[in-house]
Amino acid sequence: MFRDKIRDVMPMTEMLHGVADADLQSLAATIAKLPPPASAEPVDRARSDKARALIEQHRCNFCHKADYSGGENVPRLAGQREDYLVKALRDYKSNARRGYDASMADVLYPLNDAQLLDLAYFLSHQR
Amino acid sequence: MFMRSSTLMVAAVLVAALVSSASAQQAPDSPAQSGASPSKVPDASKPLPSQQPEPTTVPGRPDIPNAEVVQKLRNVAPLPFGAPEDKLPVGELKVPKGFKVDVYASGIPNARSLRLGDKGTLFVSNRVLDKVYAIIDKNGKREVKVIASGLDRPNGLAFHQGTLYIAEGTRISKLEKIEDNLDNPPKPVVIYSDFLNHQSHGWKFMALGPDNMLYVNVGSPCNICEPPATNGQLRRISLDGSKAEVYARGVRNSVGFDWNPITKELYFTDNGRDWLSEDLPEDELNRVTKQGQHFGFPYCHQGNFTDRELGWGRSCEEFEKPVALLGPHSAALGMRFYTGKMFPSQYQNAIFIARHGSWNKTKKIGGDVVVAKLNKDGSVKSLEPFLTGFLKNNEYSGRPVDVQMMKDGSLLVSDDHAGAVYRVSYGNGKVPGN
Repeated sequence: MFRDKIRDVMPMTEMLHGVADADLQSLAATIAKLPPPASAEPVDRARSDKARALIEQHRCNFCHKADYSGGENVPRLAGQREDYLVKALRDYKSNARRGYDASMADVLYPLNDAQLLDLAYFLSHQR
Repeated sequence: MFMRSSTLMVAAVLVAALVSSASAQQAPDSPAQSGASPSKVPDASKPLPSQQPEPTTVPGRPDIPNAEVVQKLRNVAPLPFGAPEDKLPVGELKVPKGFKVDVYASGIPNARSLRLGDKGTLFVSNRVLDKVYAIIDKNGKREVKVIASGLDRPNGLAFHQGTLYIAEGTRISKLEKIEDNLDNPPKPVVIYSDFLNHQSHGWKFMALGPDNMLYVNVGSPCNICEPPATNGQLRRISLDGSKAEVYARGVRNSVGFDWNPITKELYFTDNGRDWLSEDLPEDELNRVTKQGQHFGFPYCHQGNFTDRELGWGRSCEEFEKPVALLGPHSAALGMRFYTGKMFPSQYQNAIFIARHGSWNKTKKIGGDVVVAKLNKDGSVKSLEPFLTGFLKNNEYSGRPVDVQMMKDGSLLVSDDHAGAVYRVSYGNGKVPGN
């Protein structure tokens, strides 16, 4: 997506210019084998509870799995950087993040920004 | 009343036909099938099982499916790149006797809507990617060119007098004299942009009406919600973008429509809501007999039951009923009336409908092309499978999106899963009498 400018982030697009499909696939396979990031237990109980309720209501774990480890084209959420998760969620909601199936947009349609922050907080503190 | 019973009857016929085709298809290569009946006979030497069947939901929470069910309800991932021609499942595809399927073009990632130019160029659009392609046929050798890129979900295509119209997420643009300039295409010129920006159902299907207006779906920005007044509708727009009006309301998201060549009425597919149940609601085939009609969303589904959240105080009698039901979650998308000369006469003026295939269902259905044959009055007489074989063992090897009749009467089918276009022909592939 970076190579084909579907996601427009200049350094990534430049770096991947001309890289073949097969090389992208082996790159992805290698990165997928890296160990998952370390993370701390969530400390803010109230925010975690709010996030858990949202996750249940919007079936996040259907695709991202019960431990938020993801799989196939569904990314890992557990232990991702909080600021990265906030950006991804906001970009899905605002339509800035293109090139994906609309399932994330369906889910995020009724959520407000405070709820996105709670989700990112909780998920970044999962292992 | 008559409408409802005929609709249900048609649905029953379709289900029966599809079930029989599915089992016929699996019979030769599925040893489990043939060995299945003996194992079903109870073994007298063993005590009858006293246990309850495994619950399919989390204990104490009938609204939350268990892990095994959840596993089957995940979104379907398309192949990351267009599949090479020798990896396409063309040998496994099934069509009625006398028909044949070939690969028309491959290596077109996310191949979506199909539209034919006056000079024979086939245009192919993207939904999650950013391109519009042109395929030209030179004596059976096909060349694929990118004629526009950097677009925002350019799913909708229409063609009128040399000009290709492209419907993106929030605008409609045009490429004039495109078939004369495929190697040096002009930049798209925007003609209309009065759309909300929403990712959910934000892509558009577009077609040129018999009145030379551009018809476009403006989808509902959600799975189920009270859509804004600007959404959940079919809209028609003049070719210069200066005039726009609502043509039909109560549409969740239509990704295919065409006009009956005899009655000139607009027929459209509409995708039903998700997360209600495994088998409800079914996707709809609708017919607009009068501008401004309301087709029920979000209050009434499939013409005969009200929504569990938004349907209270409403009745399905307030809304137009579908002329056929196309299967639960089957994602009926592109459709065209057949007016060609190649196929047998029983297909004349019938509707070919591409069903993308379900994701919000543990036992997948669709991933095929069905054909709806009509009565003289425009009601649906039958629904039958036409092109099947993409769905095996609950997995897709292809997902049909749109159909397009070619000048010779053959039928093209796009597949956004493997990134291909297939061609279905009849007999020796030539028009009888030519």
